[in-house]
Amino acid sequence: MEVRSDQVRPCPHVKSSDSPAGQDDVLDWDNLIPVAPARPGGRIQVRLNRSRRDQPLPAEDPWAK
Amino acid sequence: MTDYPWYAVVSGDSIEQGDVLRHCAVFLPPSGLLVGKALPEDLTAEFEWVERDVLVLSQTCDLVKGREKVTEVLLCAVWACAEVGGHLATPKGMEDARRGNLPAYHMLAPCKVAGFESEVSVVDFRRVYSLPVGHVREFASFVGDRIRLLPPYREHLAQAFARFYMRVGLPIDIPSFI
Repeated sequence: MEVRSDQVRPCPHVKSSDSPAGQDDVLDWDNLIPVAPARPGGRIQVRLNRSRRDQPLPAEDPWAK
Repeated sequence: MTDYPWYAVVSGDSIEQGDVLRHCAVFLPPSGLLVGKALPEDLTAEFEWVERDVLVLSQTCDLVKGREKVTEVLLCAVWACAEVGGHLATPKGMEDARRGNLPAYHMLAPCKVAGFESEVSVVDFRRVYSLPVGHVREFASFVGDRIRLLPPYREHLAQAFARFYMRVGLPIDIPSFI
């Protein structure tokens, strides 16, 4: 469901003369470094040994004396 | 005014949140590596490794030696500001990061500690890695002296990571009033 602007009551303390804090959001959540800066690297051969399914760490009773 | 240094030099295999490990290799499994019942007992594969300067994000209390509450250490990449591109390479981008307006990054002050001098750097929350605790302890011990981010900057970093990680995108936002 879309919220129309006439369904939302503007905050009464916001004056029309208040300067807009920027038309865009201040936070940019999506900014990213697309390519990691070059660092030494390479390839290694690994041998994967099948192990048993991992178990959770035992949960302690924090109230136990 | 009380001096609140950002960094201290530490050594040994004690690991805490905020520890910086330079030149640490992280391992990237290839895509298509489907480890499951259909594969043989032993499988040989080629992993990519790449060197990173990483910072420990796991909580210090989870990393107490002998009383670890985790089996892997959460790490994220740290870049020198001089080596990043895009928006962050601009003064506006750096200022945005400094103000916390780019939640995927957290800016760290220059390090003036003798032997560990560095310019401003950014922690990249979009590039996280995990390595076994034992491996990280060995590496930390191997590298000798290293840098540790100190309180309250360490907690500030942890808060920034939590803020980025817990973000929620609303499908329908409330329209702007201006």
